[in-house]
Amino acid sequence: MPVSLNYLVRRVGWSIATIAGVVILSYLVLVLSPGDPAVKWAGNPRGPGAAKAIENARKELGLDQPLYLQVLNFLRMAFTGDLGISIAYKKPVSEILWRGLAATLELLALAYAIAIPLGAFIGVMASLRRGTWLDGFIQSASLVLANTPTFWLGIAIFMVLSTSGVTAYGRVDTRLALATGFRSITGLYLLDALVQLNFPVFLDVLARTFPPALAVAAYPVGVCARVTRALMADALLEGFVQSAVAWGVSRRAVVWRYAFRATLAGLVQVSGLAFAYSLVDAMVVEYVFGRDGLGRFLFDSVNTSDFRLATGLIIVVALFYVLANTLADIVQALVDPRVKL
Amino acid sequence: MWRAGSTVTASSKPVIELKNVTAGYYTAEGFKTLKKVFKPAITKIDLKVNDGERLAIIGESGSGKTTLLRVILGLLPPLRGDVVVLGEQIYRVPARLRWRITRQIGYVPQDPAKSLNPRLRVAEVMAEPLARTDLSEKEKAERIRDALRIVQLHESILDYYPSQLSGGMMQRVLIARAIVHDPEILLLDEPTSALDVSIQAQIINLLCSIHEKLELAMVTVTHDLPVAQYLADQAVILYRGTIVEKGPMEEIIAHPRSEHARLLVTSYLSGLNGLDRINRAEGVSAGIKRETQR
Amino acid sequence: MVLAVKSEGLKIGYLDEQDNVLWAVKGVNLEVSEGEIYCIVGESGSGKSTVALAISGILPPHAVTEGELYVYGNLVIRGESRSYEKIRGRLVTYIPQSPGTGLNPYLTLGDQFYHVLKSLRGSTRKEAKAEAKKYLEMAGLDPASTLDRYPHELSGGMQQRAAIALALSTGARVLVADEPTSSLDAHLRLQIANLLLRLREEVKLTVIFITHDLLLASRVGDRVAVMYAGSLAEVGKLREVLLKPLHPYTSMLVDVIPTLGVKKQLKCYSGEPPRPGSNDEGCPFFDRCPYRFSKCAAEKPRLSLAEGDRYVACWLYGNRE
Ligand SMILES: Nc1ncnc2c1ncn2[C@@H]1O[C@H](COP(=O)(O)OP(=O)(O)OP(=O)(O)O)[C@@H](O)[C@H]1O
Ligand SMILES: Nc1ncnc2c1ncn2[C@@H]1O[C@H](COP(=O)(O)OP(=O)(O)OP(=O)(O)O)[C@@H](O)[C@H]1O
Ligand SMILES: [Mg+2]
Ligand SMILES: [Mg+2]
Repeated sequence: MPVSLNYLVRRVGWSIATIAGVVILSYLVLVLSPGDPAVKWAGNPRGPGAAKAIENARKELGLDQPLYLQVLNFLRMAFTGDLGISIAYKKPVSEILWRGLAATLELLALAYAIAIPLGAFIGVMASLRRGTWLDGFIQSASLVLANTPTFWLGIAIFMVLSTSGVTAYGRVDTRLALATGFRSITGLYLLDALVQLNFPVFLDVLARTFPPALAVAAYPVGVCARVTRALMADALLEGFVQSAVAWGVSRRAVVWRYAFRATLAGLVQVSGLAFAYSLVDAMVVEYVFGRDGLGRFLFDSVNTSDFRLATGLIIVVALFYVLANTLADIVQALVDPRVKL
Repeated sequence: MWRAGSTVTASSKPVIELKNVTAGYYTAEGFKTLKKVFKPAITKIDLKVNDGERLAIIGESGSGKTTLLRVILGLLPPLRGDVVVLGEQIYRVPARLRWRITRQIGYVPQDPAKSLNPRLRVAEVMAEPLARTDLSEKEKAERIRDALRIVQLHESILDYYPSQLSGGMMQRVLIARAIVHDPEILLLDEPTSALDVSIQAQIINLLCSIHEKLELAMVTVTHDLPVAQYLADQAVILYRGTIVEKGPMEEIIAHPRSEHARLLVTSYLSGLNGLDRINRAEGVSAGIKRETQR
Repeated sequence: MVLAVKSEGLKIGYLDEQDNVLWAVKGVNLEVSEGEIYCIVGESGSGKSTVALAISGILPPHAVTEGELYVYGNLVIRGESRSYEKIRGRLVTYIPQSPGTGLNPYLTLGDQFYHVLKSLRGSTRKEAKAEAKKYLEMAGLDPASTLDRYPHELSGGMQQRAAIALALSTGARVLVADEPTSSLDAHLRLQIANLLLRLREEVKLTVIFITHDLLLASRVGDRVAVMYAGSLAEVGKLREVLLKPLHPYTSMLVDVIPTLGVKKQLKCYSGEPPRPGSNDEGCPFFDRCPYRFSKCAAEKPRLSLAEGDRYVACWLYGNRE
């Protein structure tokens, strides 16, 4: 194994520290910001009993304790996976988060399953035709793709689809799901439908996930294409690629097995960073397409001063970043036999 | 120019000391399995290099010479044994502080093309060993220029990337880099393998004069016995990771005792192919030939 | 007699960042016949590797060429255009100067053999493995312990022998070997030298052997070309050149070959060779030559017949043209 236990232990230690830091900060920011959550929890009471009700709510939420105790308490809860009850939805925060995370991950996964191979392929083509019109076109196209605001692209796709009568709203056609007896187990609908061999729902979910995934994919396609082209340009001139050419290795093997192989590590690293960055894009696009994902819940939680849900969301996002980076590192080690972690 | 007026005495305090060192690599056993097994590359090495000493490490390909240097450089923790460099147990020093010891070592790696970062210009490569010194920018530039002049490279090369240099130029850049910061120890891994004989001769003369001036310890790994006799007074012969012979260089050339040393000397002589006449060395090599055939 | 490699007025330069051409090879005429072991020696930076890259067909895109180069009658360089269709790996194979950078760090040696042999002969994995074993053994490596290794797990000398094995496995008729024995000891050097001699006998392998080891060259080589600053200084039979060098640069080289058992002063003529891009009026060795006279500064000597089949580019001999 290229990944040593030592590395994993260190990495997990770091991740925990990072997440703890994020938890503390986000709690402080949300509790100290204007808008009293106790008022919301008590249901915006009016009249003579109001003060009492709010006082009770404050106690119930633990907001009457000294700040450091609140923070410690919250940390303990966070690391046991119990994030309390959402103020707005009155449901366990962890349950809501899981539902949202699954939806968002599904979208991101589909987007990246399209983006990385496509971007890499385009980049390789550009590098092989350096200086031609195709190269120039790919270069400028990927620059545009990487810099198009994703929310704009999402809205544009959504509008084009709805004016042409295609429904891409929500994650699944509820009526179809009920009719075919579809049940969500993991929250990843594509996976669930596949496991239940429910192909009508599978196709429906795919058709509804595809348009927003395209919007999310634009950025990574552009980034991957550009990075691949740059890395390939260097890799094609490496000594071992050149000697392979001199030994008569076929062009296809030279390009994919030798040169592209050398760019993989860099590509993985960049995709890892882009993936974490795309989370925010996905959240915005989800909102546009009316999907019950993290984006929707973040919007709701801020609107209703649901600090429990909001901190939970922030923790999930932090966790997501840490995991994406660790994964990118590990994949990098798997890709390059010389790297030991 | 080289640390003018320094007062290094040729005291015989050891600057490198290896005690019972075993080191090696974890490699995958069999085809693409995940299990790693330890394969020693050097076993039970005892070695002492004193200040001012010139030592050659000679051995066949794959005998562990580069591994030995990597252990001394603090790059490869040994499985067992003590490594003392400049009075410090180098592997007891935390890895992030080890540079304080290793910066006093000048190192010329074996494969020049592989050892140079393709994205750094020669100027940046040369400045690396000077990075953590308190020299002014002007003094640094001065030293870099001096070092390049010594290895017969033109200053214009400072703007080049390694891919724009020939093999011998890369090797000379690395030699210049190894001496630019006045190290206490020089570790040279095949320092002249990519040089033509005329530049090799200049480098040999240069290394000898640096050694004379600084009285530093110099460890040279080489296959080339004739070069070794210029660059070293003492030699150890390494065979499959263990030291099989140790002694003065001249003694080893004239009376090789171990099988392996004898093989090297005889191969060299048969490679001569009757050209002993070059260099008028006939008498001498004939003498060695008789000696090794016994 | 079949000519394996032939060049006429071959000039090769590299574009620098300002798009100026720095000429590394300044008009070289080579004639290497089939089955010959042709050595090239010379100053570091004199353009030996550049010639090797040109013959093996891997000059970088920023290299510019002039003149002509033929491989077995195929015109591969003609002025600025270069085309190596069906030449690489089939007619010409190459041992890189730095084996560490010439081997693919992401593939085991076995896989590298597989890709070479699959491309050239459509071999299966099993066939490739058998071939790989044969060639690794030829190069003095133990196949059992190297076939499944990545290059970084091998010592410098082992990498070099692996590169030799890979280059030979192509079965090409011309081998361009750029310092193939630089990190091998005397014993292995002899082994490789004998291997080349054997292949020359058995399959009429033509070898262009770039080396700094003049004694090894004298053991395998038929003829030698001495390069200095991008031009040929002297061409002739190896033994003759070594025993009686004509060009002052060659005699300096021969003088500074270190010899086992003798510790003489290694004297070099001081001065540096001209840099690529400097103007080439006069003899490139002018600065360092102890025998220089006024004509040497003014006019560049051309390679011309001096005696027997010796060619020298030096005004000491060149008046007879
Ligand atoms: N990174 C590595 N991983 C696994 N094995 C290695 C590694 N580096 C070297 N080895 C093995 O260790 C042994 C000694 O290698 P080392 O590089 O020390 O030899 P060397 O004496 O320097 O040889 P050479 O003269 O050929 O450079 C070899 O058998 C080699 O295969
Ligand atoms: N890729 C490149 N780009 C630009 N210049 C280069 C490139 N490769 C070589 N050169 C230059 O061309 C000249 C000749 O280099 P070459 O590698 O052919 O020398 P060489 O004779 O092989 O020397 P050595 O014995 O040191 O390997 C050198 O001055 C070098 O700086
Ligand atoms: Mg080595
Ligand atoms: Mg070269």
